[in-house]
Amino acid sequence: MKIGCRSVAALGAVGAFGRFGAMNLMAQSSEYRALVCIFLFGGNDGNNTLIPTDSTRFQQYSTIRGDLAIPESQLLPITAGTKSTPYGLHPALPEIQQLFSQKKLAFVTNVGMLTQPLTQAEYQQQLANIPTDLFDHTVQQNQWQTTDTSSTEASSGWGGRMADQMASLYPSSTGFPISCSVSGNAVLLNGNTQPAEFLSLTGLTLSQLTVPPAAATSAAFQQILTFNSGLSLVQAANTQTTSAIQIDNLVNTALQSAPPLTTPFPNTPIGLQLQQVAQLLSVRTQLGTQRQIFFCSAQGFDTHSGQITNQQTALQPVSQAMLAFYNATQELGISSQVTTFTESEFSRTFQPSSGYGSDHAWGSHHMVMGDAVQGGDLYGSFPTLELGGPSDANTRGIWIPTTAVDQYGATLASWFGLPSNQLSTVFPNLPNFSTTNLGFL
Amino acid sequence: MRFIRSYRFLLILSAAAPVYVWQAADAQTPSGNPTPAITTISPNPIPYGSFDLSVTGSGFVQGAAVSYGGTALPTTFVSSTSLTSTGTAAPVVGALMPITIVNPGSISSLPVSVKLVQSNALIPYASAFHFLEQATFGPTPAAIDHLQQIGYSQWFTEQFSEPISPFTPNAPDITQLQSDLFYNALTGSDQLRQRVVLALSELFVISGFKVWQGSSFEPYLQILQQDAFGNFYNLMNDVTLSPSMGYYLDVANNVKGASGELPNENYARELMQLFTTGPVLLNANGTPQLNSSGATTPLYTETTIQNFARVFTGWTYPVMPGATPQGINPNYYVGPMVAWAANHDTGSKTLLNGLVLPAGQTAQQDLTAALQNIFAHPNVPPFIATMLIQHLVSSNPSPAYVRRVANVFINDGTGTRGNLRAVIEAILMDPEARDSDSPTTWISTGGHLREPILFITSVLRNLNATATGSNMLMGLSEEMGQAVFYPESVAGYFPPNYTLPGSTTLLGPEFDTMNSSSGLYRVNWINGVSWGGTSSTGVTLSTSSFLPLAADPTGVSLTKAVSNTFMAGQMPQDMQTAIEGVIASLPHDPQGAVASAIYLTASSGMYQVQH
Repeated sequence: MKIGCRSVAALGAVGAFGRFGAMNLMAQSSEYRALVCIFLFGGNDGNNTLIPTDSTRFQQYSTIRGDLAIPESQLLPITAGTKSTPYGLHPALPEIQQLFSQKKLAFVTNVGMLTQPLTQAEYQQQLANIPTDLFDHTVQQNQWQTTDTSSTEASSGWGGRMADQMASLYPSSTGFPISCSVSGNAVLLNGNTQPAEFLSLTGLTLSQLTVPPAAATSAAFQQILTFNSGLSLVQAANTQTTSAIQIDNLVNTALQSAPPLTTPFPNTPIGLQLQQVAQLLSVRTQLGTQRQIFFCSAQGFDTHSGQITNQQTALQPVSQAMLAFYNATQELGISSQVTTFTESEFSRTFQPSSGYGSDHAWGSHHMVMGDAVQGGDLYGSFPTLELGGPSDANTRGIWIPTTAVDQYGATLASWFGLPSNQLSTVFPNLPNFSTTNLGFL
Repeated sequence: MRFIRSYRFLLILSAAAPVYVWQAADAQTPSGNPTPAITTISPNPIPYGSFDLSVTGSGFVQGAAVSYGGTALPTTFVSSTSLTSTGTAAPVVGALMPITIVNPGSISSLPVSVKLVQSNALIPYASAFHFLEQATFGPTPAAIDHLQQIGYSQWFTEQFSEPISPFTPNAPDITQLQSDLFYNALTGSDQLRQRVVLALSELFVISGFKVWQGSSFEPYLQILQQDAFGNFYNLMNDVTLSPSMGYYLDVANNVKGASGELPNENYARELMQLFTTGPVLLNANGTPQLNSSGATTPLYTETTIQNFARVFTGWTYPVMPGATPQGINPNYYVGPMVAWAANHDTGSKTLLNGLVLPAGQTAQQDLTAALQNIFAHPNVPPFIATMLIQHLVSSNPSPAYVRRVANVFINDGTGTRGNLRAVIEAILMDPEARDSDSPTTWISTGGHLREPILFITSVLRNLNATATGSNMLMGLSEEMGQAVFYPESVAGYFPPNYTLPGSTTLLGPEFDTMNSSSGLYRVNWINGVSWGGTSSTGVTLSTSSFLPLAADPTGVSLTKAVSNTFMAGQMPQDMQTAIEGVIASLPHDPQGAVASAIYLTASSGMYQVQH
């Protein structure tokens, strides 16, 4: 991909053909790109997702993790391109192992919320800006999506801000928004100016507005949605309903005209969500979009107890669905134009907790997938697996991240086409870090 | 898609049903009798109870009868311009009664709609209506009338002593408990308790995703029901020792650190962060305390959490009847959890505000001291006040409102802290809550989106619908984004800090359940309801009482009635005009006119947001 050329081409096209002509041109070109976020709600334990299997570190791992340690014989071995030592994946991840070995997938290690680079001393002596409420589900779910490390609130998301910046460069001919969730209302997609679409598909179609028999009733229904009550919440409800009707028309019309995807998807919540995204990708031309950010999610990662079973149950459908989704992007011929990545509010303590579980921690390992990814490798540094060691925020194996969410997001955003001069608008902590592109795309 | 099918079904039904067609009045009819016309009705409005009615007009003949909503009343013919009649008025959906004069030969006048009122009202209709929207699962005609008669104070007294509508003990599954929730909401007389229990279940969250058996979930609901009108400390204590909560957040079988493990932090964290204090220090009015650089101050550190986690060690499930007590009892959910001394961490612990629990205390001593430590924290009153106000009254209460309620939490007037009755009463009787009563005092940022459960129950109660104990209303709620008793996480169905779409400053927690699909589902469900269907089994609903009002060709009567039914009679003028226009365009389709009026009213943002 020649990222540098795209915006020039887009601007040139707008100049030459006017708005509508440009959009048709863009939609038919190979310039389309999509980012797909899979949020692992609950805090996926990175320590059992990606495990170093050199003898020294595996020994540390099995000693400290005790009941939570996965036997080496069960781990799925991988060889990371630039790393001299072997690693293993959680046994629930055979599809991820396959994608990794085919270099379609990479791990970014020890990523987490950071306002600025942080040493252990700076954290422990509170000498630097430290993200607020680090171990709080709600706040950290928000921060991973907003990168606002000083706030407990769900303000605008980095995906939404990116859409704000890019909507004029990559307009949609139908008004279908850049940001679209198939998993409820996602903070990541909240923009300041651009709307986000929160779909909740049943099967592969949206529920449709039931039209009352009398035309006058339908007309009055639409009219009443436009009345100004002067009440903020009433107006918001009317706006939501209005938008629902428009999107419903757009998506269902588009889906009716699309040939069905043949790639099979697992019948799991995340499988269905990614199938819905694939279906929406298949009608990207009809929807007139050039850039899209999708939000999906999987549940069940808050493994305070019974982790061996519960993490297996939570990870397996993600692994299966990600491979299916990758295959679907191949079927659509856009596997180099779609990049999928994971987020999760935090990792879990390296030291186990009572009840065969683990508690809330910090830096974790995340996956990026797609043909554009420089796959088969690990990016970032790997924490030292010692309680109270150099990576530990305290004594429970809570790794201080060595890569910030802002850097992770900015790398994805750069590939997506966010102009470099707007990176710090979208990722306000980015200027605090010397590396703004992690190189995995 | 399920809905669309049922809607078609309903359409067929309505097409097959006898169609009520208003015949435009002719001056002379085939029977030879004139068409009567009404000029005045007295009294107007008609008070509930027995009434003597005088009707003046023209064209009355011997044998003419006053028809009261379709029922012929005993009528005395006085003259061709005057009739008298007697009857009894009772609360009805719409609070509006169409009256016609019917001459022999079924020659009917145009209707005149007369408002029915409670003549001994201590509270205006609209005020009672709005209060009941906040305090119950929705105003029914009878509930409005009752409150109007007895006033707020007596109403609270009654509600505080109403027997508890139970959830099914040993329910076979959570589905039964879901049915129970809707059954209690639609038919239970302990409305205030059930409404507060819903709010509490969204504060002290457990979820069927983990606590998946009816028999493990129901005892928890019992605790919330029994403690809803008690002291907050007792509620917190009973929730903490509940085996259901113990299973959900891992206090059950949390043992002191051994063999490289540390006590489980799950409950310790959520108890403070989500259930009682929130993560940052609050002012007495619920706003966060900000330091000189504008940053919030954490209420606890990771170390505090670890200390609380050690407090909550040594607890296990209650002993099953006949079983031998052990350190790790098998899962059992009847009664509170029990302590097992050997599994309790007896070291000293440092809690909030530097409180140190000495070493050597028992599990019970530590737990009591820790709960008292939290209960005494200044965050609790504004935090709980904000949460309950958001669920009952408004997503965006003013800091002054929060402070007033928090003050009652701190001291109910008798020196007691945490009196939930007093707190609930303070929330509902606060001037800011009562600003809802009149459009002239509506707050522009006020109200809250009706969450799916409340949207469903409000619509059905407004229409005086009933449900059986095996209703399937939970299916609708799930489609609307709220799977009853299955919140996705301990943060609940919707996080309290969810921002109102399109706003950066206002909150709209319930909007987290509303998206392109669930939003349409809400509207589509209303469309079904408007034709008299509910898309759900076990519910009895009728909209036929509106039909006679559709005979008013101006649409004014029917519009007034739906406004009384859903909007306390306060529908904005622009909506009234739009709906009257639609009704007027359907002169030969009373069923369609009624459906349109209900659809346009209950689907609107004005209704979807309780304000």
